[in-house]
Amino acid sequence: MPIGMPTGWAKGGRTIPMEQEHKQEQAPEQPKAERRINRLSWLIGGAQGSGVDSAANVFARACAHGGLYVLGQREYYSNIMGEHSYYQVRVSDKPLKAIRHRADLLVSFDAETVFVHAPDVVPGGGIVYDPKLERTPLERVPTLSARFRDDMQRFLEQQGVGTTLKDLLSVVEKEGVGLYPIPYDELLQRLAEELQQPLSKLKRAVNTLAVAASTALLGYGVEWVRKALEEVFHGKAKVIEANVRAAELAYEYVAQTFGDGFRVRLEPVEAKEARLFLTGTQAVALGKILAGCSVQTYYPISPATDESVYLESHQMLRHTDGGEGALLVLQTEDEIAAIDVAIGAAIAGARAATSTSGPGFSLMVEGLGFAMINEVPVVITLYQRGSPSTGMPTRTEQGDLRFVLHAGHGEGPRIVLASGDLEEAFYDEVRAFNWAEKYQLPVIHLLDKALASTSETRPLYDTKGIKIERGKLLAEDDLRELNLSEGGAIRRFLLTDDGISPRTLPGTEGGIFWLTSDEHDEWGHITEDPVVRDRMMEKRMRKLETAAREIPREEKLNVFGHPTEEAEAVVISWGSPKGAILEAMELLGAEGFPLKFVQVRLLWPFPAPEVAEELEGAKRVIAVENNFSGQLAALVREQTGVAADHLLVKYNGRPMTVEEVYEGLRRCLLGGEGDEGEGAGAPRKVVLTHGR
Amino acid sequence: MAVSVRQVEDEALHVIKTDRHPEDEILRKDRLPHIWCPGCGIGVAVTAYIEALKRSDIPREQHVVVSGIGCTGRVAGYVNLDSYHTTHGRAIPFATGLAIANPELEVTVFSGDGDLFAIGGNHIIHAARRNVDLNVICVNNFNYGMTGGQFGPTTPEEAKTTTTPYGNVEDGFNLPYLAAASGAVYVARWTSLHFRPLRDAILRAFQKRGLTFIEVVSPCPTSFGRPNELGEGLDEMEWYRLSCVIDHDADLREIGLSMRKDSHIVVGNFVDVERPEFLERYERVIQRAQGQRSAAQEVGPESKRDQAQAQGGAA
Repeated sequence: MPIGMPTGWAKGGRTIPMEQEHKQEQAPEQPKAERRINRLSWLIGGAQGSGVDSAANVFARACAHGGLYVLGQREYYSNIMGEHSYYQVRVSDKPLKAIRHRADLLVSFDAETVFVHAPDVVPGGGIVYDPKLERTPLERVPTLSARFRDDMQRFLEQQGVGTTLKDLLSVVEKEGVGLYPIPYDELLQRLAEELQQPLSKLKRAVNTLAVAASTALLGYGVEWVRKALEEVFHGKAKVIEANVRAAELAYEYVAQTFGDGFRVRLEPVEAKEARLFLTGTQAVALGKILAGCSVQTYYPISPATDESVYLESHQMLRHTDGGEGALLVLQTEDEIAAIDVAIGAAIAGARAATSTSGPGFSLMVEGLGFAMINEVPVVITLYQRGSPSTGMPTRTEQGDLRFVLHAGHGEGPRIVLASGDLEEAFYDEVRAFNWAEKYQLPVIHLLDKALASTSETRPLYDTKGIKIERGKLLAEDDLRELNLSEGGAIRRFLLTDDGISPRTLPGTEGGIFWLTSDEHDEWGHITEDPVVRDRMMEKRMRKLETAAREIPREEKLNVFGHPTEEAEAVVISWGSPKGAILEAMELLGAEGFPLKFVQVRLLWPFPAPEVAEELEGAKRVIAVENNFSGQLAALVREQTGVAADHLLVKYNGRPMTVEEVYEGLRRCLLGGEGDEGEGAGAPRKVVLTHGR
Repeated sequence: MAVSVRQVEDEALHVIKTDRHPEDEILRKDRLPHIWCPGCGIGVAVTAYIEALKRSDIPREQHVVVSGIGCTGRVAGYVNLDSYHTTHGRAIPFATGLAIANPELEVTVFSGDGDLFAIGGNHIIHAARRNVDLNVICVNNFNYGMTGGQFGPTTPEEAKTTTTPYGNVEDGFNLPYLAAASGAVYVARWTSLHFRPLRDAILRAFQKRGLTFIEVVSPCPTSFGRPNELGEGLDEMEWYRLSCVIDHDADLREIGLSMRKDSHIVVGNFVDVERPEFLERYERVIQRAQGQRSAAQEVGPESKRDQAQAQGGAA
């Protein structure tokens, strides 16, 4: 097996069934006739800029219109056009939690996609491709990395075949993968003739042909594709007409050529509730709008920018209370300015936030310190990406946990929370604003590229329960009532038991206040007095104790699965691996390995007593993280004294998939292939490496 | 009735003898003594600001002072106003946040040449381009005073500082030219000798919407005067008196400052133009977008979809 190609059929050895829940439906004597309904893993790839995203969008929306649940993940290069990008989509009639990297159906219109992803197609699955590319040799795909070409070449040599796409497809076919060549050029030609339009204007319809060929194979009605096309190309009647006709041509071609033998079928179901189809960045952006964010600042950076792009396009929304678009979105000259403008706006009373990724946060560290020492409520939404330095701008990582916990010179209070899915991403963003204002400190909301580029169908968010909590913010009346004004000014840093001082806004009569980035006294005036210094340091840090006391346990961590004493192991993790862990746990549970999963959501102040309690008595502890060193595991050890027995990590820039986490957890429990002999015992560190 | 010389002298003495400083209502007496050296020009700039503020019709509580780090950065702590001493170089972005979040505020940035034009150089050019409603007062003393007299972005070529002991090899910025080129709607330069024109320039800046920039050339006898043999603060004031030329219509390209003994310091109110301020433009764009949005919604069948999209795009 070539290095870096750990796949279903190329690997040999143990693989998990694609969809465990339907295993029992198999009729062993007639494997060909078995149909799997509404459980699908679908993948489309192509050169960036060639329409992969819109094709995936059409497919996902077509499924969603038929009442099915959809979960997608977009992978792309830090590049505008030309490099390989792809979209994985899972479809089910049940809610989905994570992507799987093995595909039932691979949809392509270029050679690179087939070379890269064919090894991930399951036996019994299929590949939709352009037959004119069959003679393309591996060497003629310039955007493939040298490493991949070498590995693939070696693999094809081992198989005793040449290096063309056809050679690879012949190997794949022997493994039981169905081949579905679609002559795109012919179909486009026919379309051009029918519509009497020049062929050059219809080139883009190749995306629709590919998508429609796949939905035709899946036996899914063309009307759903039409609905999706109408939605995606809203307002462009001619484009819709051309694409709908293209879809119909693809359906006709598939029916004539391949019949309806494909083993996975999609059938529309009735959705019982209204659903959103949105991405991670949109979930966060909606959270911001609902939280009453009125100033958002940013400097363009992958993968955070999509959030600000969304907010920029919705800043004119009328609020339900009739107020005019109250959200000002400002693109600044750099991230230093981005956080400082947000801080300035927060001082002036706005609910202010900024959104960035690692390199931008590096520049924000200075401003973070100011917000900590001046007790300014500001929200920083941080989408982690492959690092350090520029790293891998469009790839995922959970590498910034330690950084955000300690960012800034010296010691200052901050709250750090991390979301595990799009449900949490929305509500956590609202929470971040409330905590920022209640505890008067910066709140860092950690997400990552994987969550940013996840798209899914989900029920509407419950916005009725959302409360805006502004903490000890005083209006002029409060000032008078509480008698806090002294000579027209207030002690902005009044020493209190909970560490939180009342604050006013600039322009408040009788509420003048001073701020300084230097250490200061209660009045906000510079001091270097040792006693005052102690009091101020203690006051600021006391707010973390207050927060730890007030934040409910269920907002600090989630606990899933079996009680500790029944569990073979306690899995501990944070952020985006959540979904893959939950699905892997189900699979392992069915195999007789009950597990417990502790998802830490509040990373600072660290819920040490709660985590210690959950880990106590564990047979073994397995930490799962998308980084090199197991940053949460180290934090848990520092804070609770409990050392993880195993680290399951991944740092190649790609999100964890269900299959990988399943196999990784299994290795931690049992040991496995390559672990110094079968039965040699479980390794301490398992590195997950799947990635394309 | 005739007034005797004696009476006039008595009245004058009465004024001098009082323990009230004319700026007491805005200065924070409890913070004195201040940190500035004898002969420093920052105090004159602060007094000019306070005098302008008293003459302006903007309510006192709407005035906010934001300063960066350095000698001029300390202004924020001495005024009885909402005032914030921020981080080095960042007064402008903090002030921008205040100004965009609450347009009622009259935000003045008070900082030095190093803070505003070296570490903060990126921010001021963009704030000027954006035309945020800020008044920027830059006290230019040609060096980093607080850290011990290093050269800075305005130190003239050949000038001596602790880090240019044999003379500065670089050129200094020509601040009015830079501010005007970046888009400031009002640009002036005065020295700490020109108290009244400086006060009036600040008053004009309060009236303007958009980014205004005033350079205040100021003595720094301790750190800059000494190595360059400029004498005490008073000697520098004398130098200003002799070498300043008022020219409101000066060609801004020609008014860079130099150490040559025969050179002039050109002062004046150089730029006073109208250009829509940032929030004004922002609101215009948003209103247009809202108009388009409502029009789209009135069309009917699409409105539901439009709203759903606003919520994240309905499936």
